[in-house]
Amino acid sequence: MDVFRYLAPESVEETLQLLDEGAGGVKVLAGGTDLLVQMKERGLRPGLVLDVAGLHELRGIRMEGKYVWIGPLTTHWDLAHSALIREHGLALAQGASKVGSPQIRHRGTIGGNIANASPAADTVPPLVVLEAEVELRSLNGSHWLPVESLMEGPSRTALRPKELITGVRFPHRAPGSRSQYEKFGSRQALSIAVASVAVAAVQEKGRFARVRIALGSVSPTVVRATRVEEILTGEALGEDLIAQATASVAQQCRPIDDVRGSAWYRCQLVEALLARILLCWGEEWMAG
Amino acid sequence: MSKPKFRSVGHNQRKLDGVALVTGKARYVDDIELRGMLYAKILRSPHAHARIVEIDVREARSLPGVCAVLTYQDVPRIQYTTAGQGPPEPSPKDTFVLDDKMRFVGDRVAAVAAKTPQIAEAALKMIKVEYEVLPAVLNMEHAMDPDAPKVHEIPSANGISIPERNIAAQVEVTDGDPGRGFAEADLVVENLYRVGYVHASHTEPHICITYLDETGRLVVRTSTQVPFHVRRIIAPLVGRPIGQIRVIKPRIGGAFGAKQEVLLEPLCALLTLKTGCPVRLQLTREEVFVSSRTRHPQVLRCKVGVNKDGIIAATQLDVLANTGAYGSHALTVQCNTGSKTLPLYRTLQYREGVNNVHFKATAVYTNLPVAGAIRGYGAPQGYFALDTTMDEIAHRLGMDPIEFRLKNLIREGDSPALLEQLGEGREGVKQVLKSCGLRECIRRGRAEIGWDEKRARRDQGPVKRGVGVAVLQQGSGIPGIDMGAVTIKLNEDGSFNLLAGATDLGTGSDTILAQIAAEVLGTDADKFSVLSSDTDLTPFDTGAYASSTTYITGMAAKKAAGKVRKMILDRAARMLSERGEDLVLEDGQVRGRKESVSLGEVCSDALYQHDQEQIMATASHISYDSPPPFSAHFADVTVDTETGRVKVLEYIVAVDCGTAINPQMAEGQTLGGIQMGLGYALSEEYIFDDRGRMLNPRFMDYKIFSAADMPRIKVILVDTFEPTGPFGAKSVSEIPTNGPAPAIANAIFHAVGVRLREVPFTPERVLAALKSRDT
Repeated sequence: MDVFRYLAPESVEETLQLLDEGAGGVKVLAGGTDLLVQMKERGLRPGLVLDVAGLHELRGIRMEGKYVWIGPLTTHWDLAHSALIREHGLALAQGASKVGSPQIRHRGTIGGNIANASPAADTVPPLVVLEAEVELRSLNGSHWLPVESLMEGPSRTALRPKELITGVRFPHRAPGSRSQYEKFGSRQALSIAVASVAVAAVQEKGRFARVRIALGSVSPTVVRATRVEEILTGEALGEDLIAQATASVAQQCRPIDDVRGSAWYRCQLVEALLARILLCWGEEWMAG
Repeated sequence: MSKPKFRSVGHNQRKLDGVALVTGKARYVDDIELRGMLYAKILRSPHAHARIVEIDVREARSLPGVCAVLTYQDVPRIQYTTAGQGPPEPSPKDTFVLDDKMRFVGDRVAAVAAKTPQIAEAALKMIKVEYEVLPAVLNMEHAMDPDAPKVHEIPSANGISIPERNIAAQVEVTDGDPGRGFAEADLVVENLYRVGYVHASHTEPHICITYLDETGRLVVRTSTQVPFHVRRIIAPLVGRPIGQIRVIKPRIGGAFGAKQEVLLEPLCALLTLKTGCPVRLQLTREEVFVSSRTRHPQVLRCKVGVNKDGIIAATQLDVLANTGAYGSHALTVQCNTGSKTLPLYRTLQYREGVNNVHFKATAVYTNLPVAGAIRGYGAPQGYFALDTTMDEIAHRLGMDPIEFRLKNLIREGDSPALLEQLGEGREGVKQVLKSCGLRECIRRGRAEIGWDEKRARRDQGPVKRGVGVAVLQQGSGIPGIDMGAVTIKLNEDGSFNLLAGATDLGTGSDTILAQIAAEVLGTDADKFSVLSSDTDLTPFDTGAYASSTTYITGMAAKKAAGKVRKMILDRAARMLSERGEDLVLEDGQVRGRKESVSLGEVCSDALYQHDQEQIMATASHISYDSPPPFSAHFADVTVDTETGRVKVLEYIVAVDCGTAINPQMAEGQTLGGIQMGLGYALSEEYIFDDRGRMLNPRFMDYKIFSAADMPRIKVILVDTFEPTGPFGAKSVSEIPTNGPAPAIANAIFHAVGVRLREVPFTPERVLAALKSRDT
């Protein structure tokens, strides 16, 4: 690693100031689980590293009006174990529990997972289906942007160099709604998703009133499966519907062949993972 | 036979170096810092096959802090083999310390020694190389094609079988009359099996520190399995006589065969000789993946004929192996693929050891990473093909796979004639099987896994369960070749020094040798201070390979201890004025009928009182037997038919290693071997691009089994007594690696009715096999 400047600002304001002066070449360090690997092994050479780990106001999970608010420095471990998250966005708790290994879950943060913009990020498909937004703040002010709109490509986001993620939020769970995340990795831990599927839905009178589906590791960014959502909306879950939905999900993918799996296999996996979620819900809906 | 009761052997003695290891006090190669030490880095070829047209190192040499830059122009042009084996080496001498021809992506172009690793890295970037890129051999199945590029042009006098056809080594043997056997068989099953590159995954990378001592002798501190071979092999390469070289093996962080290689030492030593300074050369993990040594990829054609009663009529194994760019262990690993597997089964008309068996192996050069020795040494490949074939025959005959095997397995007293033909790269030595607990392994493993109930089970839903078995053997050392020597001396407090050439790699052999010596000397293993592998201080040993240390060097320790024991008793008899036969040596005391003396008193008498002498002895051991340990493996798996994921729920290993000198360590060796075998079977794979570059040389993308992936494993040690081994011991370290691939392949077949014939059984490969069966 080459020489670089390291600063640990003590407030959000100071951080924004430093970002503003930094003029590119600045990297924000939270858990470091992606950034340090990029610096040590991938040749990333920031001129200035801003360690925000001390900004305690950016941690925590709480109810804020009609939203669940999550501080961007909240770790995967805390997300996975939060009763509030499990109650209102089970898929997110499931996604966080599948990140890396226990050591990585204790260090890695939700803000970092979003900003790193990997199509394989385990928290992003859940955030997309939960209609989550991120708060982007700079010296010029702040605004909320849907997580779905933030992702522009692998490692590319709408986050500007002078902006900092200062919050993540998603709406309360509506009555009759639920969410689930399924990941397929090549082993039980320390495994990047070969494919993943998140689904959130509102059920009314045995039918899908609203449904959102997001797919991970099958396109340059996490993507919505809008065609499948249309097929499901307004319908009751049954074997035929599940078959129809899974048959069309692969068309929504633009997967690549890489060391983790072929494009063919990724399509097979999203079909299997989606079917698994819908079958599990179908059985419960029938029973309930 | 009633078993003798031992005081030290057979007990779970705590590892002598255990506390130092777990408290971080043990010293590995890198745990010393020498004044003025330089850091070396290697420039590696970006091309699979190329010739250096021009290399300009002037800018790199002039960078401040750079002390030496070596290219092929600066090193002696001597061909050698990196394989750490005794002379005459059975591996072809096809390697230069540095050459002007690059034979794989990662081959060595140049080496730099500089004051810091950063300066060395920067200097590598300043070396300007112009390559003539040559067409490359990237598929072993086309390496022998007439128009294939030639990886080596050197004459076959260097031990290459047929360089113009890229054949590094070949072997072919026939026993009995396999043609007749196949003709008479009621059923013949023949299939192709494929196994790929595997990484040894030792924690400590290859590393070496070289320096000149105060008398100008060259000292090589290195992470090696073969210190004495290192000393002999590097002598001509560095232009020093053996007497001017000292090789020290400190603690080693794992090796698994990949350090039975003389890779870094010559280059590091040449940098020291060039600069006069200590030099440290350590590979990065990526370099260990790409540029050290791997398991040989093979394509195996296995053919077995059987009569309708389930008696094997004939067996044939035809192996094509990829040795990569250099032929390290090319002949001997392939010999082992046959000799460690085929003798396990008798065939029809079995008489005086003669089986109807044909075995052929050809190792070819390619422009890919170099294969070498890795735990199992050819046997894991062979067992995947052979044992899966046995399972398939049982199925086709409608027999239980265990019952079928039991009809055909060898027995005590058998003497497979194949082993006389097929030795370690030369003719073998006649072997008579003196201990065999195989049937007991099968019986106990079968009960433990609940074989009979689980074979009858049928599942609903997309996730299917199945159980599979594999039956295995290995060897204990190389008969007539491996020699180990041990020196033991007594100190005034009744403690002993044990000096062994044997190389503890984390394997625990220091402790094993102490337990064996302690047994003979009637004392405790922790009374021994063990020094292993310093070529100046310890006697010779061929090294830690071929499952040899406990069996071979253990016997040397027993013999040396026996000599010391005699010296102690002779002196004690004089001290106590008693007859030697009336004395008993136990608990650190020599007891006569009336009085006793302690070992310390005996030593003090010897050093200071009467007829002064050092009570000390050295003994060597060689064996013309290589008794096989035996094992039965049982895997209980699930196969997810929608994702292709194979999950191992439970794994049972019953192993006959003779007397387990230290049962806990024998179990640890077995667990470690299973962990390696599970990755080999299910997840570990080298992936290359179309130019021969490895795409996943890191543990993030090369998936070894993590703690979270491990199934429940139960190890059952089946006690037998091998009369040629120390206190009845055989080997245990390599055999476990052989089992998981066939046992899991057989369990997958039981679960879903699909045969996997290529490792690893990745989810994608399993799903593709399921889909191709369904269409």
